[in-house]
Amino acid sequence: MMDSQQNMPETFRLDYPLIDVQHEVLFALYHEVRLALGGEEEGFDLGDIFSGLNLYVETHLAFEENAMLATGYPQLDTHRVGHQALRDGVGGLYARFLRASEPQESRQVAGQIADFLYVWLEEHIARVDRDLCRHLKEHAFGE
Amino acid sequence: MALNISTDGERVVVRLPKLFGFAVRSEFKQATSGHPVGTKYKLDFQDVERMDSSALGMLLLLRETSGGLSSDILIVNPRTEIRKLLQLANFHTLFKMA
Repeated sequence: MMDSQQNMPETFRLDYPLIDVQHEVLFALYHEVRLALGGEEEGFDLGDIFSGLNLYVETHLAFEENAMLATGYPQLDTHRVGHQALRDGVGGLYARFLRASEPQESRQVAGQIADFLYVWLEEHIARVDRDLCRHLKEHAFGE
Repeated sequence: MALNISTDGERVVVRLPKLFGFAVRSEFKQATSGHPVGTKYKLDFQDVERMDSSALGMLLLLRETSGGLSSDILIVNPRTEIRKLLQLANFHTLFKMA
């Protein structure tokens, strides 16, 4: 993949392409939120970004959970708790975004979604995905 | 214009550039906006040699703007390495790939 002008931070990288690419997509959507909130003229619609984010969060988490099941990952239940926090956090804020009646409120919630996603990615990758990727590499998953 | 837009009678055909990434983001958005929800797309990757995560985000956003679950986006002619990248991202579950 070529370098993007808005790359995912190197500290997020786990040197496991199957997972790294999917984290990069999540980061790209995070960046789209930031561009839209920054008033960029060619920004995508925030509602479309969030529906895409909801979809891809589920796609990515389901992929990881299937990988854990297939390889007998011993920390599956703990890892799933972290996944549920992302589902609940993004899903709950997205519902608030849809209910917002004023543009200012929509933008405020959108900023909260972006902040939540960034912190979740930063913490989840550093704390638990690194261990998962080590396990998947040991089991040659996806090779 | 880095992108080439045409129709084949059924779909809006977008021929993507050699470097499909953030640099063509505005052009991609302009080229794919203005079409009604439900528009069918064919994304021709024949010329694409490299793409970045911004491009993957653009594909997802096109999926949403064109109808989400009911969208109909066909990806054609990806090179082997681009097809592999799309599969790593699990996009083969979200888009039709020929």
